[in-house]
Amino acid sequence: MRIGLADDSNLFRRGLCSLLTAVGIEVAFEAEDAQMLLALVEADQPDAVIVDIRMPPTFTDEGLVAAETLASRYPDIGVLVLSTYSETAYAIRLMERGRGVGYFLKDRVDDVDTLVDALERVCAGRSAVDPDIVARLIAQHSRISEMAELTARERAVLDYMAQGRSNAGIGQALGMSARTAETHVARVFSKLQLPAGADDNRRVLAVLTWLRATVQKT
Amino acid sequence: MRELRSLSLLVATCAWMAMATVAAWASWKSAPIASAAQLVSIVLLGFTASKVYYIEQQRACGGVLAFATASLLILNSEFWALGEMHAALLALASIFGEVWVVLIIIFAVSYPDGRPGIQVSTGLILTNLFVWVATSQVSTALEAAMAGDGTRFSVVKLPIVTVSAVGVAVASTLAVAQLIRVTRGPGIHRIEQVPMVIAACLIVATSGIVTAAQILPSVSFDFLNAAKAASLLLLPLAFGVSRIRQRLVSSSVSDLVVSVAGSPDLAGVTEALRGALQDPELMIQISVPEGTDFAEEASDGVRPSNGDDSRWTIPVRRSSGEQLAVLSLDPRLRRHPALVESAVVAVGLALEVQAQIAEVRASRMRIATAAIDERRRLERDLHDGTQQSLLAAAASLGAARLHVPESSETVVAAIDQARKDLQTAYMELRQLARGIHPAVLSQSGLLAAIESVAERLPINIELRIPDQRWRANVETTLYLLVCEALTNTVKHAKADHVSVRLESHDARVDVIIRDDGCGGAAASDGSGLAGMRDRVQALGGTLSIHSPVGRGTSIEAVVPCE
Repeated sequence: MRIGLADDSNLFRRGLCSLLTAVGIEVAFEAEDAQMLLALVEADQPDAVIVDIRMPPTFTDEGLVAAETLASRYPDIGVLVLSTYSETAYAIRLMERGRGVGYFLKDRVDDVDTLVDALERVCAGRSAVDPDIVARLIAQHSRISEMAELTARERAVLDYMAQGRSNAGIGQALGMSARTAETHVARVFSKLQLPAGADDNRRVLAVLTWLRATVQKT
Repeated sequence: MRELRSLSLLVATCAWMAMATVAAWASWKSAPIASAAQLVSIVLLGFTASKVYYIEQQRACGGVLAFATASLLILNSEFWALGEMHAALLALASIFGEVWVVLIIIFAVSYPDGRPGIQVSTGLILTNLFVWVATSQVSTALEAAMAGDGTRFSVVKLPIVTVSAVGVAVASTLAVAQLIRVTRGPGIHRIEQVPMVIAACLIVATSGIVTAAQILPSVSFDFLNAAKAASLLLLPLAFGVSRIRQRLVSSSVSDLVVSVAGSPDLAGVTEALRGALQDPELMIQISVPEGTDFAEEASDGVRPSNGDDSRWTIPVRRSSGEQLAVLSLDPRLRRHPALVESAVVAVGLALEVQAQIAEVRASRMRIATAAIDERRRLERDLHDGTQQSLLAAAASLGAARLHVPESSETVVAAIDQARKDLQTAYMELRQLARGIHPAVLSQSGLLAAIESVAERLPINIELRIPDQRWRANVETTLYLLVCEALTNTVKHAKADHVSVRLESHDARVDVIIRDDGCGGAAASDGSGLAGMRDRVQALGGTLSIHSPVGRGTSIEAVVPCE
C-alpha cells in the first residue's frame, strides 16, 4: 500500500512515517499543508492519504476541506483524517462526503493494527469512524435512554455499524456468519426506525446521526 | 448691603404702621374690629411690597403692590371724611381707594414674570374694574348726598351695588382663568404664581361678596369691612407660601446631585433635571471628544440648538475646568441662579462619574477579552507543541515495539507500560486543552461546541441554538457560561432534563438555561456561577439566577454582541 501524509508537525510526521514503514506501508510523500497535499496527489496518486485537520495557513479546518476535495476529485483514493479533536461534528461532516473516508483520532498511532485496518478500509472505498467516538456516543445515549430496547448483541452490532464495518466485518468481529450479522443489522434498523436498504457507507451516517439526535437543535 | 436692606425694610414697615394708625384713628370708636383688621392688613401688605421690591427683577411688582397698599390706606381714611361730612373728600377717597383691587390683581398675575397672556387678561380685568370703580364712585357720591336722611339703604343704591357685584364677578372669572392657565402651563414660575393668583381670586371674591352684602339690612358695616380687610391678609400669606415653595424646589435640586449621580445614562440625568427644574425642554449637549460612548448618545438623543436664542445655554465643566457639556435651559430660570448652579454641579458630577464608569467598563472588557485570547493561545500551544511531541513519541514507541522480538519479555513489558503511560498523559492533555478552549468553538461555532459538550454529559439536554457566528469573546463567554450551568446541573441538580435556549437579537444574545432539578443554586463568592457573572458583566451584560428550592434552576443572561 502506498500512502501520502499531510501534517504540519514535522515531529509527528516522522513518528508516523517510521511506524507505517515498520508495518510495510510505503509513504510516497509528505506534505506540510493542504495545498501542497493536493499538488502532490495530482502528481503521484497514492492508494490513500492521511490528513491532519488543523494546518496552515488559518489553522482551522483545512484538512477537512482538503479531504472533501480529494473525496470528490479522486473517488478511488481513500482519505483518512487523523485528528487531535474527538468531535462527532467533524466525523459526521466528513461522512456526508460519501465513500472511502475515515475519521480517526491521532491516539491511534499507538494502536498500529487498528490504524492499518482503517487505512485498508478507506482504500477499499469503505467508511471508518474511530471506535472511541462511537463508544462515547453509545455510552452517552444508553445513559439517558433505553437505546430503543436493543439487546446487548444488537448494541454491539450498532457499535460496529457506526464504525463503518460491513456485515461480513461485523460477523467476523462478533464470531458469527455474515448472514446472521445481516439479520441483526436489519433488526437494529427496524428498532431504531431507520430507513432500511442503505449501503454500508450511508448507514454509518444514519447511525451516527441517530446516536447524536439525543440533543436537539433548531 | 444686607444690613441696609434690613434697615430700609424696618423703616418702611414702621412708616406703614404709622400711616395705618392715623387712618384707623377716626373709625376706631365706631368700627373697632374693622379698624384693627385694616391696620394689620396695611402693615403686612406694606411689608410684603418692600420684600418683593428687593427681590431681583421684581422692583416693578413691589412698586405696584406698594401703590395698592397706599390706595387702601386712602380708602381706610374715608372715616375722616365721614366725620367731617365732607362729600367731595369722600368721593375723592372712593376714587383712589377702589383702585387697590385692580392693582392687587395686576400684581398677583404678573409676579414673578409678566407674559403677553397676563397682560391681555390684566387689560380685561382693568376695563371691567374701571366700570366697577366708576359705579362705586357714583354710588358713594349718591350715598353722601343722601347721608342726612339717616337710612343706609335706599332704592338708588341697589342697582349700583348690583353693577359693582357683576364687575367683581367678571374680574374673578378672569382671575380664575389666569389661575387655570398658570396651573396647567410648564415652568418653574408656576410654583410661585399659583398661591398668588389663588389669593387674588379670593380677595376679589370676598370684595364682591362684601359689596353685595351691603344690601342686607342685618349686617353691620364694621363686620363687612373687617372681612374685607382680613381677606387682604391672604396676599402676604400667599407670598410667604410661594417663597417656601421656591425654597423646597431649591432643596430638591440639591437632592438632585445625589439622584443624578446614580442615573445610569444621559437620558436619566436629563429626565431628573427636567423634573427638578420644571423645564420639559431642558437639554444636555455633550461636548466630550468624539469616539466616547457619550458623544454617540448625544448625537442621536439631543439636537444641537444652533441659533436658537430662546434658550439659555450654560457650559458644564469638569473640576479640572475641561468642558463636559452644555446645558440648555428656559431663560426664565435666570431668576434662580442658585437652582441653576446646583443643577450644573449635579450634571457635571453625573457626567464625570459616568465617564469614569465607561472607562472602567472598557478596561474590564479589554481584560476579559485578553483573558479569552490567552486561553486560545494556550490551547494552540498545547496542540501544536506538547500534544504533537507526545503523539510522535507514541508512534515511535509503536514502531519500536514492532521491531522487538516477542521473546524479549522484559523489553516488551517496558515498552507496553511506556505506551500506556503515554496514552494516559495524552488523554489528560487533550481534556485539559479542550477545557481551556475547545477548537471546535473557533472552527465551527457555538452550536457545534455546545452539542459536543452535551454529547459528553449523562443527561437529556434540549438545545435551541441558532447556527450563527458571533465575535470570539462573545462566543467564548457564552460557551463557558453554558458549560458552567450544565456542569452544575449534572453535579448538583439531580435533574432529568435541561434546556439551553439562545436567542439572537440585533445587538444582544439572550441565553436561558433551565433544568427541572432540586434548585437552591446561588452565585456565592468564588463559585463558578459568580465567575460567570463576572465574565458576562465584563462584556456589559447581565446574569440572573432563579433557583427556588425544589423547583428547578433557571439562569438567564443577556450579552451585548455588537
